[in-house]
Amino acid sequence: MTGHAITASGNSSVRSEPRDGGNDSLNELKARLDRLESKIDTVSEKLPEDRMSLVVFSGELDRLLAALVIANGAAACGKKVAIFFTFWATPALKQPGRHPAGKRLVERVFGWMLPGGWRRRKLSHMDWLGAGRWMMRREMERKGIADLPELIRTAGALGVEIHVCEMSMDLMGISSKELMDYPHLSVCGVSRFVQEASRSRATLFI
Amino acid sequence: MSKTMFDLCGLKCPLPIVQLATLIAEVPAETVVTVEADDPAFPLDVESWCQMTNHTLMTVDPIEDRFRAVIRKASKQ
Repeated sequence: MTGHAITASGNSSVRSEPRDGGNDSLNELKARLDRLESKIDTVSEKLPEDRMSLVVFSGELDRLLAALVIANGAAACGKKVAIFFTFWATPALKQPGRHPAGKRLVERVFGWMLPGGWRRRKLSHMDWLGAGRWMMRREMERKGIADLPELIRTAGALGVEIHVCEMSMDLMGISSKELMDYPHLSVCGVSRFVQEASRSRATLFI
Repeated sequence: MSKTMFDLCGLKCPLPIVQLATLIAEVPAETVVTVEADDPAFPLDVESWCQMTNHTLMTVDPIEDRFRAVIRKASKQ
């Protein structure tokens, strides 16, 4: 209807024009609408979603704590969160006491030098050969600040995904059998991270 | 009848928000809940949390040694 009215007023000098011209412009509008709709689909596919990606590169207690506090907070705020564990953070995901057979000497050395589990994490500052770590743990306990095992548990309950860099695992001789039990754990490569980061509004490197 | 009073005292960041998100999931949409927490970061945190999760923060006040927030859960989308 609107199409007709516009054309009719624009072509008032020719009598036969309004109807055909009206159809033409209606078709043109339809075509424009189709083009716009498909463009919107393409654009919205490329828009970031309500996601957050974290790359955890460091294996130290304080940095892991920061990463997990942010991950838990973001998940509680309704965001879909993916954490990528790579390089020095990878051994933190090893479950202590799991020692699969068949490792080469160098891989065993990596295992000794990079112990697994949350309890063996050093601090990036003030570690003082373990004294700082001990002090920090005591203070956290006294002040009711959540430690890594608790933060991992709540992250699991909130659906935070943990992706482990396959290349780091291979390099450090860590097999997937050694990894801790976590409800949303997977071993992945770089393209998975790039995909997640591209869909996220925020990506942090810790 | 689900609980509408959440006591989050003693919890430190990020646990008050984590617990709040978990607990509010169990009440029906548009329920008004009262939350108490003693984490000093709670008033600002709960404000941001409500903005991101579409819940309505009705009031947040210091009460004795803690903070009390009244929140109306978002309607079903």
